[in-house]
Amino acid sequence: MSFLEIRSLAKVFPDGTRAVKGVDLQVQAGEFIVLLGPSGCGKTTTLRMIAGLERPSYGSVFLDGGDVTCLRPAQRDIGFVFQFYALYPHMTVRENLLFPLENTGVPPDQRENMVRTTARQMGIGSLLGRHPGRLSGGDQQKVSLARAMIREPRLWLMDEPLGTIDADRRIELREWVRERQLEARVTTLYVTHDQEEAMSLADRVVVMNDGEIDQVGSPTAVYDDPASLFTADFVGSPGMNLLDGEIRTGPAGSLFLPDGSHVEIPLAAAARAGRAVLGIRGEFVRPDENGPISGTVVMNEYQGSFRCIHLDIGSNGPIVMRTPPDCSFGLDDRVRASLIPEHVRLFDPGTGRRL
Amino acid sequence: MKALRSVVIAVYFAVAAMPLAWMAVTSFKHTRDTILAQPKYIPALSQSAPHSPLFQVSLEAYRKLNAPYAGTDRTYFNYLVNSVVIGLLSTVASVVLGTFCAYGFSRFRIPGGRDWLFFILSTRFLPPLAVIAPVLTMYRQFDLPNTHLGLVLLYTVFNLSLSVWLMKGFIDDIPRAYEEAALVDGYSRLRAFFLIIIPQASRGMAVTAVFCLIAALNEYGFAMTLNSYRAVTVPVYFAGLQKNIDGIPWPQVAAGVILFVVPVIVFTVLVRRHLLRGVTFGTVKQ
Amino acid sequence: MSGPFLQVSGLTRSFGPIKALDAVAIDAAHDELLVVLGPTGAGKTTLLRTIAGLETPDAGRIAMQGRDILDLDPAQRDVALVFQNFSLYPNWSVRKNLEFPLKAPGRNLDRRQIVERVAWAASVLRIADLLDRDVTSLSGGQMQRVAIGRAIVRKPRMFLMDEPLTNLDAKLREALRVELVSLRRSLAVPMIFVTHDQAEALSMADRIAVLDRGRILQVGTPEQVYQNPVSTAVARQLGQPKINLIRVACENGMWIVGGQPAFQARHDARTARIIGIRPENFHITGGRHPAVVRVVEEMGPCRILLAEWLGEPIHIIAPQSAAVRPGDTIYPDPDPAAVLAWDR
Repeated sequence: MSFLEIRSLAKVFPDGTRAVKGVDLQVQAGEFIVLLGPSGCGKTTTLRMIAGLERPSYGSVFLDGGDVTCLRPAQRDIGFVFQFYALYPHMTVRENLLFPLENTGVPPDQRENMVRTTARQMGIGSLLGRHPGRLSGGDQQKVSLARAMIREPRLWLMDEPLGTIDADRRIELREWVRERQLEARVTTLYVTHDQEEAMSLADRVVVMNDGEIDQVGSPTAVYDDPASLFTADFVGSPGMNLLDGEIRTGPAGSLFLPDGSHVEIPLAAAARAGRAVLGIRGEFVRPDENGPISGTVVMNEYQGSFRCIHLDIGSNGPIVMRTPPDCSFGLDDRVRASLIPEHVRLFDPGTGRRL
Repeated sequence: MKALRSVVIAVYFAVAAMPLAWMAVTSFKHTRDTILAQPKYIPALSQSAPHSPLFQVSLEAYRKLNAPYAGTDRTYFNYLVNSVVIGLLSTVASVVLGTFCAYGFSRFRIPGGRDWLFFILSTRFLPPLAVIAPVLTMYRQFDLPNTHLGLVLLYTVFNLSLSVWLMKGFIDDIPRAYEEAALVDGYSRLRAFFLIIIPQASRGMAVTAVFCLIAALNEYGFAMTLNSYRAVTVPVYFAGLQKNIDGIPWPQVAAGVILFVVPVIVFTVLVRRHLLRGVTFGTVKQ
Repeated sequence: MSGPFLQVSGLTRSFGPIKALDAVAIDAAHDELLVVLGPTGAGKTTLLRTIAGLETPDAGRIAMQGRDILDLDPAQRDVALVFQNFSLYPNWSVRKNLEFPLKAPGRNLDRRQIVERVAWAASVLRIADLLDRDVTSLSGGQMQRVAIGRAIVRKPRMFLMDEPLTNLDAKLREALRVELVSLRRSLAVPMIFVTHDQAEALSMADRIAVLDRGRILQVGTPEQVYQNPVSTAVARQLGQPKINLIRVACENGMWIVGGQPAFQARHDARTARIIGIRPENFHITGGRHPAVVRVVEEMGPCRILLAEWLGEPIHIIAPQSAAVRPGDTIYPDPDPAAVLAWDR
């Protein structure tokens, strides 16, 4: 049995909302799992049920071989990190960090040690004697995270802990979270709606949509091989290019014909003829003078280390091409492009699942 | 849970409504039925034995309200009109002035603004009657005793501090961006105030109005001291009834109170939704 | 017409001891999207509000089409301002919100013209089906569309945008910024767009003005500002993850980092005390000094590595194909041509 196992977990709220519709998940000890989805997809409710803050309507939670479904949060030995973890203004940083250790079995002489080690790891060692009110906003957030992660319980559960932090600090803080987790090897479930955060932190990403799990996999798998149109669009910035059209088979192999254009896109493998949605990441759309696709540049988004060129190819909406930063296409230029066949993904337009 | 809540509410309602209900019942009695050891509380058409809870319904009290008050040619209804006119005028004045003033404090950097606000509030730190002598002297200079204008001015001034403070809270909660958008869109500040701020603040104004109106209607000390005729208000009328040589005419008091209070209750019920939303200060949704 | 459309010079505004604007000088061309980029508290919003006429500067000059506008009130300046938090009037329908700017005194539009303009703005922003909805019932993205609609409906001389996309979620933000750029281009009206988001600035701007603590640090095209930042402060504001800044000395044509010779110095920058290397300008093999990888962050098309190199934590963007795990040793090799250098 896995370290954490969730079976058919479901939650119906008193007003009839089915927030979580039966979720199964197995988590190995020491794994960093990120629950990713748009607001209202049930990810926070799932996390709160694992924490014991919310009572499941159905299903069970097993932790380290024991059924904890009916235990109170305090009996589960978990650490829960909230979006805003308030510091006590009348205590120094050191006292703030000591506070969560007080009701644990850690002997007092070791507590001091843990505070110093954690503070050093998080780069706040020099702040220990200061009061939180004297710190900058970013330092306060570091102290909050340090306090939340100083104890090493069986599980760390985190509900968008970086949600309120400025974008330019977020990379720094998420790296601390990941480093601390790699060092402590505490099994972690982390909730976010930010796909970049999910990708960068996770050993495995759990993509949730409408109360159900859409896909579970490594960040690369979720990015490269999305199981559904939802994940293809939600993961990645920008999301996958998606074209509606039709697959036609012939002696020379399969071709994809996007709606509203006279383009034939060769496919790598034999595919069943019929309606389909073609998905391709922007980095696998290449400028190519002999490419089948032709479009007008409607937007050229410079991003420093790369560019996103938006090509208007007719009724199928613009297609985004990710190019090196020195690419010199101007607005309204006509550009030909090709798709790398091995990276083309096909979806069923009805069910939204992969073909 | 729901049943329990209904029970609690029903019990509380019974307790709270009891005095009003008793007042209403009393207003339909003869005086003799109000001063018996055995209470009478069931209305009936005819006279019954002294020990029965039945009493004979009578409109005598209401008729008496229409009779001239001892020694004058004025009836209860003259007093009621005075109360209503003075109460409404002073309420309108304090809410209007308070809203303008609060808008200024809320939106502009005023030198010493916080001190001014504190000063305005500090006028509430003394019991109003403490200044009755200077007020009376001043009023005599300007011939204000025994005028409606006198009481309107006085109540407006006393309610203004409350009005400014309440309205400042409400206006602070209205995002500046609303009127700034209007300014950029081509409107003057005054127009933006009337088109954007007033509709947004109307709920707060209703709440403030209720507080001011009740305070003005209830006031007795100044109404009594500054007037002996013409602008006398209902509280003074009731006080006068106590001096009646036949004892206090309870049905008449009750009838007067009902006529005085019912319109206020009706108004409060009508705007109750606004009141509820309004008094939850600081939670106005952006 | 000659000269820039908008010319701001010497603009200064203090709030008590804090100088929100310190002799700010910028200009915007007739058909240009100028992005003002800066962190919270840099003075971006004050600058925009001063141009709109909602704040009065202590000193300085603002001219529009060659004419001084400082003594005009907001209504006379004929600019449109879109706020971060939408500023639509709650309990009004979308239509009423869109009509409001058209009914302002002095606009003198008749009923038919108002209806036409509203219909035009609604179709441009694809909110025609929302016209009779109460704005409080709209989603964040729809609300911001309506707010933009309210700005375009009266065809102002200039758009001012105060972080209009900040409160939207990532996907919507990306979609709307593309839409906003093409909308501005089709209307051919100059726009000043204020943001703290470097990705927004780089991708949308014709030119970027970098603002910090009330001062303009640099103005230029996104490429200029990203590739040739005039100071470390500018370099730090652009790029995600942030540029790696390393203190150096130069000896015998080598950069010295942490006491040891690190790599070949740029010959034209031997007096530099600090160098900057963008995370994408490293190869992860071929360098002379080892680096221990602390964290690997999956990004989709690439990976971000956090590594310890010459005693400095550095970020490296590596291709997705690079098989690197935390704890591995790599040999980062910076692209010498892309190394930036400053004297301080």
